Amino acid sequence: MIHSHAHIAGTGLLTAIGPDTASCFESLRNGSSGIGPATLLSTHWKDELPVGEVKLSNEALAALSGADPQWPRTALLSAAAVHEAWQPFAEAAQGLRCGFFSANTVGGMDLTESFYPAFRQDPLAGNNASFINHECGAVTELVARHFGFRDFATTLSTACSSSANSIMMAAQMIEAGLLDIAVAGGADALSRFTLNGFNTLMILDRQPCQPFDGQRRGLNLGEGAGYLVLMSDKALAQCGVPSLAYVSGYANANDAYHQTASSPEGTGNQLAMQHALAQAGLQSSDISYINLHGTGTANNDSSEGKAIEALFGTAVPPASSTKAYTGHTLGAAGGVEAVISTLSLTHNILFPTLRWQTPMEEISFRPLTELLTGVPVQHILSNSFGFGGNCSSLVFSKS
Amino acid sequence: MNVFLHAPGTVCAASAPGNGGSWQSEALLPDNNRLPVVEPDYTQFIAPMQLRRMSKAVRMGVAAARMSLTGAGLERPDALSIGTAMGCLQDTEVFLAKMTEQNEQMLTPTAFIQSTHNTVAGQIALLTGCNGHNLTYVHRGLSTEHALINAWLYLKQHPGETVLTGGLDELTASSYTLMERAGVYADTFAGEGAGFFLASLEAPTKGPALQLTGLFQADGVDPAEAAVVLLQRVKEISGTPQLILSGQTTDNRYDDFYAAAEEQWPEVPKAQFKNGTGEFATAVSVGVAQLLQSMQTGNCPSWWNVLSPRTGNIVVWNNYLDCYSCWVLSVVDNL
Repeated sequence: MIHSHAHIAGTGLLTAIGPDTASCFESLRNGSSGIGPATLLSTHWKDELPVGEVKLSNEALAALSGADPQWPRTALLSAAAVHEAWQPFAEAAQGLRCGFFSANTVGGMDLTESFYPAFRQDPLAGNNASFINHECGAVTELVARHFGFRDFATTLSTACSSSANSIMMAAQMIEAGLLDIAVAGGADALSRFTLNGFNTLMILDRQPCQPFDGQRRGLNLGEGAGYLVLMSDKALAQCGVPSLAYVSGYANANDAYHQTASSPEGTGNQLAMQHALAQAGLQSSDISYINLHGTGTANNDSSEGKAIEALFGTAVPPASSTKAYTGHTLGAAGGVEAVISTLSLTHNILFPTLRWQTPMEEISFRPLTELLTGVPVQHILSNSFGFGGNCSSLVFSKS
Repeated sequence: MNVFLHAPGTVCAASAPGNGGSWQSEALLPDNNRLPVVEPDYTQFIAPMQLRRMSKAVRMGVAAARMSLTGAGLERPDALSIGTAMGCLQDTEVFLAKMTEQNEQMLTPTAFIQSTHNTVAGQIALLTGCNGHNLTYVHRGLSTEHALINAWLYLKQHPGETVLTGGLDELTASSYTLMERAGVYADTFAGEGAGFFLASLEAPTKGPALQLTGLFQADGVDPAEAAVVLLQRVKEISGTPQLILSGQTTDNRYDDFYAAAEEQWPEVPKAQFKNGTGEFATAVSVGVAQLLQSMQTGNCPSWWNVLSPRTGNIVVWNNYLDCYSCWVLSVVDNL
């Protein structure tokens, strides 16, 4: 029994293709990718591994939200997007129970990894400020306190599905009548730790990635933050705002196959999509568009593609990966792509899979490769599949 | 809220008594201000080939999970919901160290793969063949509580199922040094451990259980204010408890929080479980698991100085730095 759907009333977005939802929307419409050489991240690989870097220094990010520039970069990215999302509602939401559901995988690692070399030589070296916000939850706390979210704040970390899971939990709590409003999503910053980690797995593309392409070579890492402002019916009324769309379904399942690779048939992917559709009370034929996880790795795209065919048969709706624009933003991906899905629903517009050239042999469908406008978009399925076999699917529906 | 907690499994500083056994009688003494876990013979829970490749955090988590499941006669849970504030520290540091020494070159993936926060939950799913819902919470001293809230939200939508839940955190030489520098262990000692149990909407048919009827938290406020908020919530749903499982340590910064409980319930015995676990963000998970183990054996650890509860309500009253939580439990005795 649900008290109210979790309505999407607003969004906050910050990625390599723009510092807010409107500018990201512009880039999405124009086919402007944000993938290129790292210019802010200091790394041995800066000229070899393209990334979706947010071209704003920590100082510039801090200025967007009034945060302290000494914070870890993940917290700064998060705060900037939360600022965009929350600003329109902060005052009108007085007296309502508001929660903050965030996610990240890297925590304050950008500061920790710079602190570590000196610490390794001398345990007393360096500044406490460099590591006291290392843990994932500390990054959330900084942002929650900055914006005054006192009723409930939490942090999830399930690799690439992290912020999809934040949105799921937030929706559940609104549906259960436990909260009136939830700002839900996630953030992640580029770091040497993550870049090198993914490099050892040999799944990084040395060129801008080509998701769902037969010749794909891997993924590009990205960074950013994406949040939805979810509201109950009561909160919408009090804030005097319309419902843009609502969260109609969600599910998390586990592939239980391998720590970093998906099972060939995409078992976990299938279960997540299937259960999310069931939760939404929808058939596969009701889905207007799939926002693919679509990282561009040989393994993900193959497993995800096969899982989609298992569920949709020959009737696969338009499907694209927007990671060709933003890179794979890891803990932020679910949130970033939830905002992009909201744009699609509210503007009846579907975004292409950039740089696609050749079909994959192992599946029959091709991803959407051109911008589609004026299409009736009713229900969107958004996939986020992560390490540890963690598979999440969300369904967003037009109000 | 109404969830039954049962079938405990722990890897911690105090070995759980076996069938009909009793807790070790001597108090646990920290060494160099830390109380590391006593690692069990893992081969009874994990095949040697798999064990070889596991970090300490993963070993602890998998073993505690297997203990819990075996106790309930289950091969796998339907879903998993785990809390860990710091994740897999040892592997994180191994990768960081190599990255530093080798200037980002010639690195190998193992440590990186194992460093992600949901590694333990992912491994448990892999080894038990569990395709179900599986989330990991990383919210500081409330990680265990939030994992439990998630378990409850899941169970409300899947009523007949069973969720494996709990918390874990590991202690490494570096984490100790850094947390000490940050003032985490002022006047108390550091610990580590894994405390797991099963959660379901129906009471188990055999074995003791705890019925969780309230889970309240306060965060980022001063200890006295936290106590006021939590006491108000508890009193709405419960009379005087029979026992308080207290997270109090010798760190006197939080005395006001515990003094308020003492003032409210002066006659109620208080078991200071961190005497046997040390302080860490998810220590409460071990405390609650040990409470279930105490109910199984009929006696509590000697350092709790209390009798094993047979009926009535139990309140868990805990803090980790400025994260405060209060659990309201009632004893379900199916022995």
